[in-house]
Amino acid sequence: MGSKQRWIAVAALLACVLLAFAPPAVAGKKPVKIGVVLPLSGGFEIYGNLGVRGAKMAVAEINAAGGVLDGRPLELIIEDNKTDPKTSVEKAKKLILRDKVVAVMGPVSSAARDAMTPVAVKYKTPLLYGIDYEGGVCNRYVFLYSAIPDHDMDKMVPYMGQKYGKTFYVFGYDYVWPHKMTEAIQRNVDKIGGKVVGVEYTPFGVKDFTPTIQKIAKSGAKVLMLIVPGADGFTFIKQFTEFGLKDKIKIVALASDENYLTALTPQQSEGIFTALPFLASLDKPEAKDFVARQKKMFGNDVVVTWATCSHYGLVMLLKKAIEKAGTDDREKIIDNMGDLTVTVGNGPETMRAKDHHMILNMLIGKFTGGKLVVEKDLGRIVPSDQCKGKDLQ
Amino acid sequence: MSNAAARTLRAHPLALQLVILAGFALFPLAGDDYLVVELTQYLVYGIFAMGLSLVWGYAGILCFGHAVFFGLGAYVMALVSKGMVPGIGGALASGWAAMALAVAVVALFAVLLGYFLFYGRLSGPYLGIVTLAISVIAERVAIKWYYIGGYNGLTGIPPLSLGGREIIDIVPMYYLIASFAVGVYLLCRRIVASPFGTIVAAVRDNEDRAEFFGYNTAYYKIVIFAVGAAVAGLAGALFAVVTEFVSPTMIGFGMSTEVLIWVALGGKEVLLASFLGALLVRAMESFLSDVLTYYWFLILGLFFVACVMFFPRGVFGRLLAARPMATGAKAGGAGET
Amino acid sequence: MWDIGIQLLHSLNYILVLVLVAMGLVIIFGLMRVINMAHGEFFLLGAYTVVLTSQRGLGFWPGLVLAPVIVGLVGMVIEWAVIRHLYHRLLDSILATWGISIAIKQLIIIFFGPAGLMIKPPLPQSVHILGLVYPVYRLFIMGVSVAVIALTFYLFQRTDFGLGARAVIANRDMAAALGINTRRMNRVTFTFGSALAGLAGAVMAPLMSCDPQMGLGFFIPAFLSILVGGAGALSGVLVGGAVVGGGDSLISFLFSPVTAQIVVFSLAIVLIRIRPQGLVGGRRHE
Repeated sequence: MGSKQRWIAVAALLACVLLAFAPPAVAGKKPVKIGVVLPLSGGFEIYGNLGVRGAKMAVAEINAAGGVLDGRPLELIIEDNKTDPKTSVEKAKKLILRDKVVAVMGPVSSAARDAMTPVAVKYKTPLLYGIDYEGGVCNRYVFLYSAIPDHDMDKMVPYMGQKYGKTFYVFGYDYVWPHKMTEAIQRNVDKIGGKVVGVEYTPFGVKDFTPTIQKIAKSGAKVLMLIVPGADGFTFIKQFTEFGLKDKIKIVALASDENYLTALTPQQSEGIFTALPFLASLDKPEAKDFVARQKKMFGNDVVVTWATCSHYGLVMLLKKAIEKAGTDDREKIIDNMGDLTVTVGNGPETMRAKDHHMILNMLIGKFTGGKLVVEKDLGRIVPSDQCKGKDLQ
Repeated sequence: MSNAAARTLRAHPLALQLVILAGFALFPLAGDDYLVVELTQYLVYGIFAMGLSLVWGYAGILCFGHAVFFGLGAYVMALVSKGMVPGIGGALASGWAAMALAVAVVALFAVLLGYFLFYGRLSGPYLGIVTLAISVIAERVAIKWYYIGGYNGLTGIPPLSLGGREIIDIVPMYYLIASFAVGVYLLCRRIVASPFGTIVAAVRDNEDRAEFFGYNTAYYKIVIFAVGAAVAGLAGALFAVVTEFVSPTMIGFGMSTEVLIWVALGGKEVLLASFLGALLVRAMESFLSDVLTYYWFLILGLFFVACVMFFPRGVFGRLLAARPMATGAKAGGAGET
Repeated sequence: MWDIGIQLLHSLNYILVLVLVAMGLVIIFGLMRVINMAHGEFFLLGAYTVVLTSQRGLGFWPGLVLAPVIVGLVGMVIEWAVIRHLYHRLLDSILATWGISIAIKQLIIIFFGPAGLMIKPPLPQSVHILGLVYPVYRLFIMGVSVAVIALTFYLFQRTDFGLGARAVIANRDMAAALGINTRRMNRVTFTFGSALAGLAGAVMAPLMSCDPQMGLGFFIPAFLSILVGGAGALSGVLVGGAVVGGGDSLISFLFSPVTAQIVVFSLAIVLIRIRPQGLVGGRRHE
């Protein structure tokens, strides 16, 4: 081989290497990236995983139908925030600065959400939140696909009061969401002429609830509003059941969902009430279809809850906003995200432009025989304006 | 790095420090905004780690609650600069005054706590568990106290300004924090190299002997404890500025144990090693935890055990030991005897 | 008055549970001066043994028997692989066991997932005490706790092993000089302490949420009990458990769980500061 041929061979090889490393954008269109900051470890990973499954299914469906903006696919970039506000901030910055996402979805805890909000504002990126919370956020860059106290308590309290008695006991975690919930409960109990006979809060990680259970037992309450979701709630319900109090006092376990079915035996969960915008057992075509699609994508054992729906819905809203804006410019997306309606698992749901909160269709659910079934359909509920007296900018 | 180069650097610790300094100074030129933002935060963690290194590595006090000082500094910074402390407004509520106040409050708190702990002759494992319980209490109090934001914490902490200009942009913020890191490092080095630092090391290596020589050992422990706490408090105040939020997780048990891992892995007996330990673990976590997901913590835990067993002086400790004889060259200070 | 009577029963229950959890910890700490930060995760392993036997259709009781055996073996391996290398480096043994705790918890998450898992209550019946409907299973737990306390005291006060162990607690070097095999003593102690943690986890599993974080909530109160009571003597853990557990339970009842936690922890710290040797303990030998 002469020296000339050798050079040609080297050049050809180099060209091949360069081609191999060339960005794939040549082949397909540039994807529109969505960042996800959800807990995949550290304590709240159950909700994180639900959210990820909802978002993944939405993206897969949108891409199968041709993507957005003339064929650009959506791409999810998922980051684990370890249930920690600091990590949430780090991950949000990474997604915005490095991956140049059009929006950040997440997180779960309100502490992490409040920590991420300044990042969203600073870098002018929409933050899409899909977990129920205490209400009151009013920010141009934050969109909340959440049930807030207005959604459930206004109907739940009168329902329980009428059916089981008008004396209530409130037992919750000692942080902002349960306190706001308690205010909403108190307001509604007053409205029906009932009485809150006791309010008590608990720190995280308590293992023996008998002192509280004893107080509840002798308080004369007919209904217990339990605002202790997750592990400590399981411990409480196990011990409450053990003392045989569930027949005398009805429990409304706020934010309890299909996850409770794996953590509690049918006897332990029997008769507990909850209020949610979606239940997997809901007898509506869109609900059955949503559950079926989840099972097809993630296997028959997959747990489908409201958190799956809300994160799915957020992606769908974002897609509609991108199409309406006709661009992936983040400010224009925000301008077009308001007053959009999507149907996920329970009728049409609307993201209001005036406060970035949702109009949702609510259900009362009841744990019965190891299943979470619909007790009553509350229909469409319009919450009060969360930006009242404030400026959304 | 080749062995020869490592040997050269060990023989010339100043050269090594200059190399590291130059690395940090030139880093923003790489041009990746995200990496600069990340490194800014790691530098804050690095300062925090140096605070623990003083207390644990140099004074042999195992503190399982060092985040109490970090978090306290962050909260004071947030509350004062947001004008939420009654009676403190105007010029006193400016960012720099708030930061000075944060450091002072933390140091004072540490002196009181140190007085309480060390004159009680609590030591070793007892001290570890007591400080652990204190960090749990601190987190509970922060969660419970609504005025300081409760569980959700506080946001919207105003930026610092220098010469009438607010420091918000990525690169100026980086250099601000980097200069703090260098300043804290130089100050801490002065302290440990001073006669005072030598006595602290003597107290660590053998408290009884130091006492027989007539030193008031509790006094020395309290002072070094307060200095280490103040450094952590400064880191907390800077953290509040960089991330614009504070929350109870920053003051609690989780954060306390995180900093312990950084310092132990880096090398607790050498300031710079502790500092780099924080950077290394945070960087690895940031880039590896996404790849390894669930396995990250498993590997971190096992790696930590191995490090404690086989490299008690940390990953960087041996390499960076500037004065091997004076800073506890025998494998282990009081912590391990 | 009647309320207080019932509350005392609840407090007694919690105290006995706490002592049961703390027993393994105090044995290891008292004898070996090792603070086992992985104790909460040994508790977790015990609970998940029961979860596993329940899932496999074997039910609760085989799990209860298996848990101390399995966790004891795990403890033995960890003692052999890690702890024995660190006996002369006290603080390092704290750090190493803590690294182990991170790894064990993560292994549980990898194998069982992060979610809470169910266990069917093994004894759902209840009896009437003081006019109160009281679950039989709680009586069973109290029985187990009393049995464990009795067994431990017998072992340490009435057997040759116990004599040797007490000699080691009093003065390790002297005991070694007198021909006691401290190496073997350490292995047996750590295995026994781990097994007790596993037993505690298995016993408590039906009463609480079974998830990977479940070990944490007991760890700090258990530790404070030991330090308050004094690690030098076994009876210390009973007193410490009574102060911490009883205090928490009573203040929770009279005020609220949030107040209880802050008050009890702070009080414990002050007590430890005033009497580092514990309420019961005499002079300490380092």
